[in-house]
Amino acid sequence: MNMRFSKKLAFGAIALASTVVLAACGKGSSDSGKNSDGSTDLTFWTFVDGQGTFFKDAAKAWNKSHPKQKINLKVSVLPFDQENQKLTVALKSGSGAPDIVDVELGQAAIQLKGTPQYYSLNSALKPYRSVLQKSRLDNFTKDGKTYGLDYHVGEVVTYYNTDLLKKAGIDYTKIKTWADYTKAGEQLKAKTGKYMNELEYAGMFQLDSMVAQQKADYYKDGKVDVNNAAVKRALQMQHDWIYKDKIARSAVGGNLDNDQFFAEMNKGNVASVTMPAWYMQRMVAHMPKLKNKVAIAPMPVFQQGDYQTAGGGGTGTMVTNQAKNKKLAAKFVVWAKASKGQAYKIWENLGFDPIRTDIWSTDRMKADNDYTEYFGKDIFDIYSKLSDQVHVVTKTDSFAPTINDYILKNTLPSTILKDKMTPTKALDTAQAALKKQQSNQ
Amino acid sequence: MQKKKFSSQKIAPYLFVAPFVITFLVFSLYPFVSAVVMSFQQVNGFQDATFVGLKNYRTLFQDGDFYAALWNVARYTFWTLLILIPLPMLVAYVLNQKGIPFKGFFRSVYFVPVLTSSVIAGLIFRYAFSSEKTGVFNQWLSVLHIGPVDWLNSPHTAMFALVIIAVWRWLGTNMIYFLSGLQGISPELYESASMDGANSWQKFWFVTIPMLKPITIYVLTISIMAGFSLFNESYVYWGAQSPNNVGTTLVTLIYKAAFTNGNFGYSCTLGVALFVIVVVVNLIQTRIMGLFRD
Repeated sequence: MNMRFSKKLAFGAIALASTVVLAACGKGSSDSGKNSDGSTDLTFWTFVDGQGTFFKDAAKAWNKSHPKQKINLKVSVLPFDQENQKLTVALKSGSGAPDIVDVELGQAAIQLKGTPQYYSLNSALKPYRSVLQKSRLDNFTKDGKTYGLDYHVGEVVTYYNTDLLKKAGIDYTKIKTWADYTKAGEQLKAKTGKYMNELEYAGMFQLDSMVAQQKADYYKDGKVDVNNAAVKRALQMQHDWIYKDKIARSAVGGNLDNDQFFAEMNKGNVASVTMPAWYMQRMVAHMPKLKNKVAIAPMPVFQQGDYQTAGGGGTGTMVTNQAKNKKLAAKFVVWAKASKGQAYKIWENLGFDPIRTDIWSTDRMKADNDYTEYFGKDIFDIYSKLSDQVHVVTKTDSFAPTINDYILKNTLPSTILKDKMTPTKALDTAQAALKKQQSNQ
Repeated sequence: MQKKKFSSQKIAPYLFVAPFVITFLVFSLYPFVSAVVMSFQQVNGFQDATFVGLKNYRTLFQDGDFYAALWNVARYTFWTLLILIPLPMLVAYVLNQKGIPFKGFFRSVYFVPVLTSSVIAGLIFRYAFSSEKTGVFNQWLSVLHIGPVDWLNSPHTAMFALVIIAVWRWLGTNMIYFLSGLQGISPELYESASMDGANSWQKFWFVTIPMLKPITIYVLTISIMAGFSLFNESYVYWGAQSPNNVGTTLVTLIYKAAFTNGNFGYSCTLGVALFVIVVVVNLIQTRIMGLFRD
């Protein structure tokens, strides 16, 4: 080959390659500003298909009611872990993050660590704050700035399989305290041989709720406090159900949100489950045999004065600081969840108890849908009664994931899964280990 | 003119290897170096990192989870090596014999698991190892009036579950390596062995195994690396937290430190530790096998 030609070819190749690279770099900036039709491009990442569709519909509705601020929303639905990984890397490296993103409560802790790489929703939230459930906003608030808006309240209630209870002659409306609940469980076990519930060792919704309903937490003044009386009381109760009263067993599959447990519940082997409102969606989708047989009731309490509910789970939609038009993105996110019409859709399309609680008592919440067909029309009568009792345990502090990790790895496996330690000892051990870790940080 | 030609010929090879070298520098060496640097840092949130000297390494040596994970992956690697070298070698040997019926069929059957996604396979195995009476393995055991066994929650059965999925999945790959090795052995060696009066066992022992040594060393090396960096199967079985660390691996800890706790510095420290461990184990292994001697 002619050497001059080969040299040219080589340089040509390099030049071409660098153009491609530069073009790729430049693409991001050319997307900023407005499209020719006046709309603004916004990208949205989520890990739930339904939430992606919800926001797509929200964008259409927004464009109708805000013709001067049209948006063109591009939705990407990523697997749960992958979304968190990509997001974390993008925020760490300073580029590649979407404008809007769904962050699950458990992952919010690391997303808000240090200086949050998110845009405060405070000014966008101003017109709505009074009608939104406060503890849900607090979850995503740091130093007075709210960075995420949840879809739902996640009010924890107890779902009873009334068919099974009837067979044992139990009236669930008479169950007010956990002691009543235990007695009912004994009666159920004696008459039918079935379990009153199953307990999580690879999940914390039950423990969290039973701690939160006592207005307690795993923290005291920012310091880890997992062996306080409330936590001990809750874990002891669960431990007793399995090993003393024998009305429960450790959950098949480790928690209550997995296919194996759904099958167990659907077959009528378990009489009750205490989970957040979003568990309705799991029941409708995975427990068809229980249709019209499930009653929703307030959580039993330890003693008078305890709350009959708690808040569990959650996903905040957040605006990243890499968003091109942060103000518009924030306004859209808040409108998509907190405006009245949209809040109804959170119930109708997603089956969640909307974070906007003032609509809960309206007639529209009783209209026919998959959920009212399954549970009856009065679902929100119960949720409304409890809506001022929603206390949550801290999940978004930077040390919270370490506490979760320890309890899931050690405490629950050695008390709930196996009877290796008394709850008191397990929690004292946890406190000692976690205290050491926290002081090392 | 002469000089120019010389320089062009000198430059050309560099240009041809440039794509690889650049890719290597940007995507392998740079992240590696920055991981080592980060392993000495405390990373607070996203934009703020401070040097903390050996603090992360001190934490590492006091971290009970680290030793639990190390013990798990060491046992896992031991069992996979013990099974996944002799067994595929034997299967390959049998499938390489003349006159074996359905040879192509069996070769494909052994290879199919490799093509499945490890996550999907893990999910299926998780159901099969269910603690319920209806789980596949418990059903088999019930024939012998044993169980039901809570497979995934006790240390020994959990390890069994991990090794089984590895054997199921990697038997085919290793078999292919050994098959290619077997096909490279000259038939003349077997002929002369026959003339010397060797029976088929002696031929396998004195001809096949020594001739397969380079392949065996290769399989051994990649198996050690794969064993120590086990993650997917463990993650599908237990997620990030396994009860009493029965399934925790070093990569689980790396993943958890970074993406659950946001502790990137410590995550890199664990990564560096994993790197050192694998290098040391492989050095010992090659020394024993005499890889660089002959």
